[in-house]
Amino acid sequence: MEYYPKQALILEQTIIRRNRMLPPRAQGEVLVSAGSAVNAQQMVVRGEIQQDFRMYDMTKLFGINADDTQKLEEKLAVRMGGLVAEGQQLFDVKGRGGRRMPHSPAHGSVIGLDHGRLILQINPKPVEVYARMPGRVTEVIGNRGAQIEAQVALVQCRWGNGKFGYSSFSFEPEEGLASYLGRDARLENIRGRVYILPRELTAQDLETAIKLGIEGLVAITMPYHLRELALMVDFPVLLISGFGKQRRISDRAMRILREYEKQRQAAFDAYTPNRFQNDQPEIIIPLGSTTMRGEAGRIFPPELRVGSIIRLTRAPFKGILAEVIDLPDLPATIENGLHTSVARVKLETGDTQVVPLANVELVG
Amino acid sequence: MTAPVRTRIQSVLAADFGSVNTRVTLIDLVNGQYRMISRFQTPTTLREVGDVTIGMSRAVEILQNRTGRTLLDREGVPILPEQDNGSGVDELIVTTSATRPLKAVLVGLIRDISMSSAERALSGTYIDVAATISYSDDLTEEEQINTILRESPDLIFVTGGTNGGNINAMQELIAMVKLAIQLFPEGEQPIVLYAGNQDLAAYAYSEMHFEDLNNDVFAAPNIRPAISDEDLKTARLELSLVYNEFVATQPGGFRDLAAYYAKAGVIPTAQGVSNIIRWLTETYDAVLHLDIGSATSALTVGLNKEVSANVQSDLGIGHNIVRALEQINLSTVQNWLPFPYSIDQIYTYAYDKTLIPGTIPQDSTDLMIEYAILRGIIQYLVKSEQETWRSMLKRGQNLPDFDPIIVSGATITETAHPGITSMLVIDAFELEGVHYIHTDPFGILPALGATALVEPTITVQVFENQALSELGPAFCASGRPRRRGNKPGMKIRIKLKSGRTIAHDLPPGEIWVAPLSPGQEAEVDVRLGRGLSLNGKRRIRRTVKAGTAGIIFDARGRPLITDPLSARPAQVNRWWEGITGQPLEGWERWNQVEPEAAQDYAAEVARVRNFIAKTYSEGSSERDN
Repeated sequence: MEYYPKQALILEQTIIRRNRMLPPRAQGEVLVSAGSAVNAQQMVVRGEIQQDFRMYDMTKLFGINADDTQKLEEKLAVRMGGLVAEGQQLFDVKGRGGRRMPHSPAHGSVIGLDHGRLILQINPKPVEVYARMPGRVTEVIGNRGAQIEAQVALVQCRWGNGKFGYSSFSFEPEEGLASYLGRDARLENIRGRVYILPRELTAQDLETAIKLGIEGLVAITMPYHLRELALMVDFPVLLISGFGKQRRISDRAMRILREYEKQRQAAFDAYTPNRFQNDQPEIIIPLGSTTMRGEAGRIFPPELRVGSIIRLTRAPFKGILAEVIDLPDLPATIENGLHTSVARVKLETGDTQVVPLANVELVG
Repeated sequence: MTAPVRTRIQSVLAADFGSVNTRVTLIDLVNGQYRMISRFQTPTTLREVGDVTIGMSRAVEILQNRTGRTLLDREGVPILPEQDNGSGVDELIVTTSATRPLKAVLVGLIRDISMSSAERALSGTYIDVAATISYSDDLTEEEQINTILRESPDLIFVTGGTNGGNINAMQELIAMVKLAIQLFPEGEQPIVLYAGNQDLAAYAYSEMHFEDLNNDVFAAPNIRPAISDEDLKTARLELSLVYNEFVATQPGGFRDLAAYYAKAGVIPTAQGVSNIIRWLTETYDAVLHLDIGSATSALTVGLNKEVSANVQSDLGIGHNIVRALEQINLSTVQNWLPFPYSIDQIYTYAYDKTLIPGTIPQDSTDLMIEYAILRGIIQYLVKSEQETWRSMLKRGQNLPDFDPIIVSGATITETAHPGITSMLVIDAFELEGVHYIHTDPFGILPALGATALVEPTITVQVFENQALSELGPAFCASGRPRRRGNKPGMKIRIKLKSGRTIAHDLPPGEIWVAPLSPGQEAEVDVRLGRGLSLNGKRRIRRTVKAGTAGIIFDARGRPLITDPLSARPAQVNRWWEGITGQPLEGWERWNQVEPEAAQDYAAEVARVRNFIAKTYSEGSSERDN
């Protein structure tokens, strides 16, 4: 049976490319050039998203015909396309009732005249896009973004809270994260790093993280109730396995994180999964551009084959790694009565099981 | 020797991109008739690699291997049209429900008239109405423009006025939309569809289209030509063109598909289904199609040659399962579960499923949860569509006599035993009377509906020969079964053509399937027990053909009532065994399941929420060091 499963990228060493783009509706400029090296905290694109507009009907204010552009422009105290400050006088009234004339309600810019109306755009929202990982710019994408390439170790997760952090990281101490409370976080080098919790995240962990001033949390799972709290905090929160009870995770992910613990900084890119985009929550551990070799490309998950190492995604085997030992040509009936395409797999424990192909994820 | 006459279109490759699965189907002429030659399904590659054509190419490659026919060139691109050597196909038909819904702002004169018609026109496809701006509202022009700009829609749908009516108010609205269009950043102008007073159609186009911006403006006849008239047909056609235009701007490979390969454009899956249902209404009075997807669900009804589609882009059993739980009745979901399971546990299941939306239950417990939520989603859809058919109901009915009932969606049709699929539909719709339930096992209906746009003969021939799988007739009793002694709820006699007779006494409150081979014809005689009836009668005789499930007899009565939790595992197992012939794996263990100890997350979440809010509002002063 031919099958192309989803893939969980857990890689000791790979080359990745990531696009860093302005969001829709933003306009701006790219600050880097192709070939240049960037660091994680470097701004690569900056721009603005337009917010509200204000309109001032000059035909009513001054009794000027809407078609008489010259007279209308003579009344302006601001320049077309120019910036205005909050409270700035908009019209040149030469002492005639000037105080009652409208002033700019906020910082903004002058868009133009339309049918005798002056149009201002106010409070544009600035947008700054950062490289989020050290690497090399491979391509500048119009005036909207840049593509960055880096050699990294990569651990893709299932869920993130939409925040980003770049820092060193450690596993929590055996006594738990809360054991740091009451200690001098600054002197003992506790704060300013991301902590890996090889267990279920609790509300207390979030509270402790804020109190200690740490940079982020990575856990295996989290009760769904904590989602709103995780979305509130200003540091990245990543879940390797998902929501619900604690369950097993790939040894490979733990091995990678253990290997670089306290040695390297990493990008904790906690994208919140969105079915319309292919950004994944992920932990990117840069390995340094000096060792870069090979050619980055888009990673297309390969076909499932006998011998493939997979991760199972549904109970009762959720999170368990296995090896494919047979791919029957015909669908089979599994224990709950569903009739579906299956693989026969050997679990880490040595047991053999039949599992639906839909519940198989390649570990790449 | 003369060369064979080549019809205009000989072969079609249909690709339907769902949010989880991509299905490709090869259709070709065989002995002068269009036939489905082969099909394959593979995971959609939109989220994973950001390009749906990767999954499509993989699936087509497998079709190539299976049929021995070359469909892709060396670069993996579909060969179009079919070549003299037999490689390639004449048409690529593309349907999708995988892209994000189109976001629309409605602009009109009066909410209850033109704008409600506009909402009905939009209801048949993947469009979310983000805001409505009515001339009769109390908004200033500045506020109207800011509403449009803040929503940043893909479409501004402008309606209003009757033909020959006053034009001043409409001109004001058009001027407002014109200014809003100019204020969008260059290249990000929304598409405009004008379907208002026809006296202003040319004016509207010239005002809202800008040569330098090259923005799209579509026009359709007035959807309310007179106060009492509504005409949505052309507007819906224009909306499909708008959707195609929109999809072509979306990431994920749709741009190339729309521009170079799919001559008919990229068609919404729901529209493909609507086309098929519209065609079926030529033959049937009442047709119902149900599609439960991972992200989107739809109930499309054809009644008296009119089609109405209730497409819910936020209701599904995978990506949108949490949104579904927020809308459906959760106590109904719990009532279908044969073990104690809290609302909290249901939500935990759902949140996790959103992260693995394409997976299927591996054990019976997960399967029960999934099916309970599925029933809840169907019931919600039926409830929200009831107004459409209220006028057609006979006394005591809650559903018209839909025939056929067609169901789609991987969860219902692809993996379940045909008997279970039937029972899920019977349960969720609470069917009464004699019904014929069909599935679309290959997910081909959207493609066939779309194919009708280029070659209707393909649609007719493939639909009539191969498209649907009939699960079987279902005899579903009304009333409350009364259990007295050993008297049956249904006394069933089935006389086969061979002369053999099957007799079965079905106890009240139970369901049973007569295990006949698909297509086997039989005379069925059903006598109903006390409290039960079929189409208002105590005895019914019909000649029917068995489907893939056989012939279904349901003596559970209506409304369907599940036993108290202590007896429910046995009840669910009896129903399961009755409809599949096999006991439900491990059902006895549910008798021992204890309710999960309630955890008071609310108090802790509230405490930490306050802490976070306070800390961030005070800067870092709360932090330890």
